[in-house]
Amino acid sequence: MSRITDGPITAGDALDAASLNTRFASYTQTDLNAFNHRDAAHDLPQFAESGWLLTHAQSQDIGLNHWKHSSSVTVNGMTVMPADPHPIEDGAGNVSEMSFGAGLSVGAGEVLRAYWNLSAKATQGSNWNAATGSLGYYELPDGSGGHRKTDTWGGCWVFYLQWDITSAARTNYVAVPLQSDCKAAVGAYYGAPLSSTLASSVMPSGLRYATDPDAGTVPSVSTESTQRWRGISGAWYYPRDAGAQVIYGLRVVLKGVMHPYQLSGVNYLVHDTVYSNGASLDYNGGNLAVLKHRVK
Amino acid sequence: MKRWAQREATAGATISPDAINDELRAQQSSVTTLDRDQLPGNYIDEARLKDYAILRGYVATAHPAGGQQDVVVYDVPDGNMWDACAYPAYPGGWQDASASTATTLTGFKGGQLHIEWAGNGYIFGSMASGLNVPLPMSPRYLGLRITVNGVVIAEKRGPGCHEAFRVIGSTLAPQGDLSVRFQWRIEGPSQDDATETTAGTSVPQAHLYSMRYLAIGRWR
Repeated sequence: MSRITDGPITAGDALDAASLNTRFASYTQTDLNAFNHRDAAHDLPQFAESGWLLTHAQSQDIGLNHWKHSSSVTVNGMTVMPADPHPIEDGAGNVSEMSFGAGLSVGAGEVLRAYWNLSAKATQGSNWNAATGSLGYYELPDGSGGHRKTDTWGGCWVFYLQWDITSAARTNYVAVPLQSDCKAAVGAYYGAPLSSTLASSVMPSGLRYATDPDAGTVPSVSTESTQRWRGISGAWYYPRDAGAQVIYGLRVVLKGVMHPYQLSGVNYLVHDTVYSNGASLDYNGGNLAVLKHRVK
Repeated sequence: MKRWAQREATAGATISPDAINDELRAQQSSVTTLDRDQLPGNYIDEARLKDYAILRGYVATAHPAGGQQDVVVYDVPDGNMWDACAYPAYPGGWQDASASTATTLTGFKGGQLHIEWAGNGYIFGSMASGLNVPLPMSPRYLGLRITVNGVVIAEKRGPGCHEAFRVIGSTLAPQGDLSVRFQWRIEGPSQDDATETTAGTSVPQAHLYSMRYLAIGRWR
């Protein structure tokens, strides 16, 4: 805030129009403008106390909430292609979908933020190194002129978001923007380019350590690392620059076992049906939460 | 609206310095009492708020384009490996996740900055327990960090296998455009690492993909 320091008019000063106007102009407060009394004045009582900055928040449990894992939901590795994703459910067929009732409108200048987590545990099975078609291993030198099958550490289960933007009936779930359902043919496989996995989070389908690698070789059979329950989490951001998008439902789904694959310089995640045969994933409970707020 | 008048100028009245000074002081007082509570109720409300008056969000649904790390990329033959970071291509140290210039958060007005960086990371950790490597062996992690104007605001040990990650940082940042970098690093191989297949292809060691970020600046 500026301070006016003009001296007072004293006896003998000339009082003409110019000097008087200058003095009055000092007090016209030209900086009392829309910025300092409006844009910067959002603490005024006429502002609503809620509902205009954060325009929506919603959270719910998903899956089967047995935190002691007394029972869990089991999903077997997907072997029939193209496979539909498995929606997270409670073990009794009740899908853990987040309903927005008559619809949640994400308007221009807003962002929808979605966060999810889930307790899960993978079982690798025994086909990760099957000679007939599994992608799950490299052949590394064994030090004796031969090779040793070694886990690539690439096999994974993929969790991602689907939404329904058609109606409140919520019967038309599809992958959210920039995320694929991984059902497109990629050579002899089915999957999606990594550029279409932008609403996903992955966890390993199994891990095997090379046993005592020695000077650039792997002389021994690898050691399986026991997989335990782990928490997976993901985040997805959906900004709207123009127009509005109404969303009726949101849910987390999963697919697996998937594996890195590269074809003609493009990186993919593809289903590995050989690895999947005998692999499985157990999961329990988690949470799905959304926030919608303005970004300007 | 109130009106202050100490001395009303009338025709034929004599004028003195106080006639002017008192009026000026009165007007000054009138300004100081014009506070925000006296403004009309709809002079300012949330609908009239100017863009970015209190906050600004910066969101990338894919960063960089396609969401993949594109700085250290080693070409491999078609098959079960990604074109990704392998030791022959990795110069060591922290690398940007994007080959383009640093991400700029434009129009930051000074205040609190919150950043979330999410994605999937892959690290090949199979060789962590080499025969000739003394304890504590050589566990592999895909280190992650976020810098703002060159200052690290968040750092994470990062994925130890093929798994999702999220790095969240928050800091007070100065006014002006901010330069943000999302960076990663891996450890070098131990003497025991088998880094090539029997076909002579270097094994990919790390990759980042599905990357996106959200940043929020708040200055009120």
